[in-house]
Amino acid sequence: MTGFVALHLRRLREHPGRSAMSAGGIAVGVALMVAMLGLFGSFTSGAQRVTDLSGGANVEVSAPNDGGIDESLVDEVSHVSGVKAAAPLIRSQVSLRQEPTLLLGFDKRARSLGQNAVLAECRPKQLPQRPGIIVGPSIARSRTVAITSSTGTVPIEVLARADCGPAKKVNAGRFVMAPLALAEQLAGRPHRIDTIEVVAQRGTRLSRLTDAVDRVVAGRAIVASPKLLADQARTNTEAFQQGGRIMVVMAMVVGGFCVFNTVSMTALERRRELATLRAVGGPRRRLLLGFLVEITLLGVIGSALGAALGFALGSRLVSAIPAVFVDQVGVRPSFDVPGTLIAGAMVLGTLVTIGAAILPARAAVRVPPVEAMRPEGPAESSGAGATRSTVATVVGVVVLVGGTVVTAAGSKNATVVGFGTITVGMVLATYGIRDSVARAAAVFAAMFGSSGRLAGASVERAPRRTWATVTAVTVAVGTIVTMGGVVDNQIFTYKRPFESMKRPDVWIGTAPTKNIPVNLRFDDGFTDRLKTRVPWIGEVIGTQSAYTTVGRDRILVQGFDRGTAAPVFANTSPHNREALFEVRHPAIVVNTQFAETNHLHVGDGVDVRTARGPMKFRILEVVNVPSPSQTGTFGMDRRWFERAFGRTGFNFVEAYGKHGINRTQLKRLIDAAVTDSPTRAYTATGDVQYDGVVSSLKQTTGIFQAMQVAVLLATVLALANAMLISVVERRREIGIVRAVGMSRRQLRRMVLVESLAITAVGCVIGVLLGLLQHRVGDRAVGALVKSAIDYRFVASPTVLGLVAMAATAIVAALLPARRAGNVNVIEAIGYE
Amino acid sequence: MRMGMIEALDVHKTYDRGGAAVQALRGASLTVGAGEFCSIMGPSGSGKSTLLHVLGGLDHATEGIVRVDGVDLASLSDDDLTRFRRRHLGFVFQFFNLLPSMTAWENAALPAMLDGQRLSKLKPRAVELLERVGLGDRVNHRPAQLSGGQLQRVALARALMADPAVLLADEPTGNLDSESGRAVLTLLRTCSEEGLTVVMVTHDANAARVGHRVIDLRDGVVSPAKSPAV
Repeated sequence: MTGFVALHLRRLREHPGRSAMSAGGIAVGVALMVAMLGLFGSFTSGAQRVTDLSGGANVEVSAPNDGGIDESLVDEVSHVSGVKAAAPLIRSQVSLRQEPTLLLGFDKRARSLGQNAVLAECRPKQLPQRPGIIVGPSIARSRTVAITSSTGTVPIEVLARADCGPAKKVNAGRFVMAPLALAEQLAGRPHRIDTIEVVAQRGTRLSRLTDAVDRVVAGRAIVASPKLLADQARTNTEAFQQGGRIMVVMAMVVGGFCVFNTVSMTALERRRELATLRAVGGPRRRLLLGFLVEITLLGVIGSALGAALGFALGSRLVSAIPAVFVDQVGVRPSFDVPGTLIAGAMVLGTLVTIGAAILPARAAVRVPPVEAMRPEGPAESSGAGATRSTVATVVGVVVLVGGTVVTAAGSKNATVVGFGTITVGMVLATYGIRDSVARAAAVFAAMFGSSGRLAGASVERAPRRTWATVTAVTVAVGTIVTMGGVVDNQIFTYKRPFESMKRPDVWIGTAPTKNIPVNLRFDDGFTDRLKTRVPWIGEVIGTQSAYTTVGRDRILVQGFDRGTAAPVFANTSPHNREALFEVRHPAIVVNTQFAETNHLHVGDGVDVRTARGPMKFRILEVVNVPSPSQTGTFGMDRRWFERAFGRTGFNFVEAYGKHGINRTQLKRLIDAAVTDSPTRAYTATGDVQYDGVVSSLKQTTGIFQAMQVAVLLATVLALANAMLISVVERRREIGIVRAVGMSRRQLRRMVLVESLAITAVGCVIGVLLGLLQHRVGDRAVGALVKSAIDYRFVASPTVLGLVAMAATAIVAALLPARRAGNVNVIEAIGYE
Repeated sequence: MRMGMIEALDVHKTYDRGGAAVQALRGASLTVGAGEFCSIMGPSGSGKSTLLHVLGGLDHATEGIVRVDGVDLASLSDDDLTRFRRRHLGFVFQFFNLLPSMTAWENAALPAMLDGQRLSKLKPRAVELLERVGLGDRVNHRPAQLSGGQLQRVALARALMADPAVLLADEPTGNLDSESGRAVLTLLRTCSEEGLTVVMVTHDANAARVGHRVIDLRDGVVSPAKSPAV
């Protein structure tokens, strides 16, 4: 490194506040990237950790649902030509201390799968020779635990605890391991297993082996790669990953502008210095290199800080993941960020820093050397001629329109690109009219008296800086208005089909209201016992629900009784509600997500693998009821459900009271009656259950609202940075106006007004951008989630955005205003 | 007459100021010999700073020929011109133009640093130059810790760092008290006596007289030669 570059780096140390704020802008973007992408990626890696238990298996035969497959299938599969070994596995959900827990069961045959981390490293070597289980590291120590399945609760001794690194990542450490036979018992399914892991003989073609196994299985199970669970997790979190990526792009844009502003201002501040360096023979390339080394280091520091912050944030957020998410994936993830993601985020953060810095840095080193000779530094030029400005505006508008069209098309990856393109279009278009943008800010500032006029003169004199700061504000406001609008519309649209849930007086489920009860069930006699114990109950309707694999997707399937308030059934037309129970051939009602994912229509047949072999269901109707599983849901007559999946009982039950009893009283009576239920019963009145569903909906979108805070934080940094540099740059001017009688208070007011003026213009453009993005965002998110969203204008995000930005403007101006007020007049006048 | 180290022939310079053409130089011609100390004087707006800028390759002439050390500056690309300034010319500015984050010796070493040389290797030469300008005890001071006269002497050390053939000074005493100004002028005169060609722009007649010759510039044209300085 040459001395010149070393001296550039010294700059960072000499301006710690400015360096910290620039690095902070990038840090927020990188933190968001690591936290969000890591969080959603953790679902896939969480599922991967579970599938890793399959070790070296090449093919997996898995039960279509939690009813399992008959153990005898293992022998059939092991005799298939090309199969070296077939190992049965239990991979089921039970309840332990009322928390969903993964139950794993193996026998000696699992050795054929080769080493897997949990079994090899975490399983204690010396185990007592008596029935018992090994618990995962997230399960509190105790000598015995009670494990609840759909058939009841079994107390069992804890023999050991698998407390090592890999174990912590399997279902977030919440699992129990048992020998196969015991595990079958604990799952309440004697002689039924969840998967058969197949190891191929050397030289066997996998596709041929898969086909051969599939023929033997004959539709009774799913035959696929052992990675199926991880693939399903990826598919089911796809829309959220896309949403996360959009937020990351927005945060990166704001962070980039933070850097752009800093470098622009630094360049302006150092204009004389750079001119001097040019005059004494400094080559532009070397000056640019110095700048870039300085900025790269800033980017690396900011990115490293952001990665650490993101990791901490993601680790905290992972425990707040909505329960419906966990259910739809089937595995509780632990925050598991691959090194490549962290490295990628850091590289991207650094590249954004360099990318944002390169334009102002290049412009800075183009300073004519003759300017070194001028006693007064020149005012910042707007940076481009009229022709280039016009071109920028025209190109910007074209890009903006293009981005809008791409986003509205709502194709998967195009959404992120579309939102990014709209933002780039806006940035270009406003760059072209930056003089007008600065003038608008000046006009706004001038409304605040003499301080305002001085502030206005400052913003008008520096159109590029004003534009860059306005852009950061625009992106932040745009993001708030867009996300707020889309989320509001999404909740508004999606909660409507669930209103039927208010109808039952009391819901009794095997999971809390925040979850969809899918695993544990009440037994067949539950409803009769309930009616006997609570004579005030007039009618009881039970429903079964389970996740099953259709094709390669994990689908929520429900079995209905007549008259249920379950949304898919309740939103079916009256005619088809009857038809569902009358037709001789099995029929289903599917939601739009399922129909669109599989390109199906009314009348089409759906092939479903069941424990009894393949079955074909005819689609009676497609209803717009969103499901937690993005690949969709369907419902059928409960009798068909039981026949198909070999599963009896109910996952939830609706109770309707007789005339003369209110809901609260009925719930109290039911609570008293279900205390001794083998499967724990959670009760809620219809209104509370509905509120629980709405709250789950809000929770799933809440993560994006939380991300807005990060974008806002980046904006505070961008704005504060710009204001601070503005004060530093104008120190001499501030000294002069102080000398001629301006009070400290007026000065502070001037800085505040400048901050407010820039923010106001950014808000106007941001609200317009946000309203546009909201409109297309509804279409895009609807297409992404495969469930249309109804547009309606909502004022609250705009109001929230404006209030948040006004607060941001004030907060961002505090430190610079204080610094301006404290400028020493004598020093400032002599300041160079 | 010694060979012309600097030759300017019929140099014109026109600026565009808000659409209006302003002629700063209107056919200025001069020759400065090697080792000569030449002062350029003239009233405000006469074009003396513009002439210095053009002679130093900081700005291009609109018309005319400028040769320094036999090189036609108009024939050089921007990169070559930059290299030429770095290796053949030294500049002293009215406002010192030192880098505030650097120490005195680092500022002095700047031109060589810009040539890609390692800072550690440059220190002995920079310190030697600072000692020569009387700042041997200020080598590790930053600009903020130095007086105006000291700052200009650091700037002079910087100008000498690359062993230039020509030293161009723009009002080097304009911001100094008389004692500091005298010290700087003495140093410039010494440099000239050691063979360096010095061109100094000044509005101070006393300062101008330190040089071998005074060139009077009026309305962008060199006036007929005045009597040589003392």
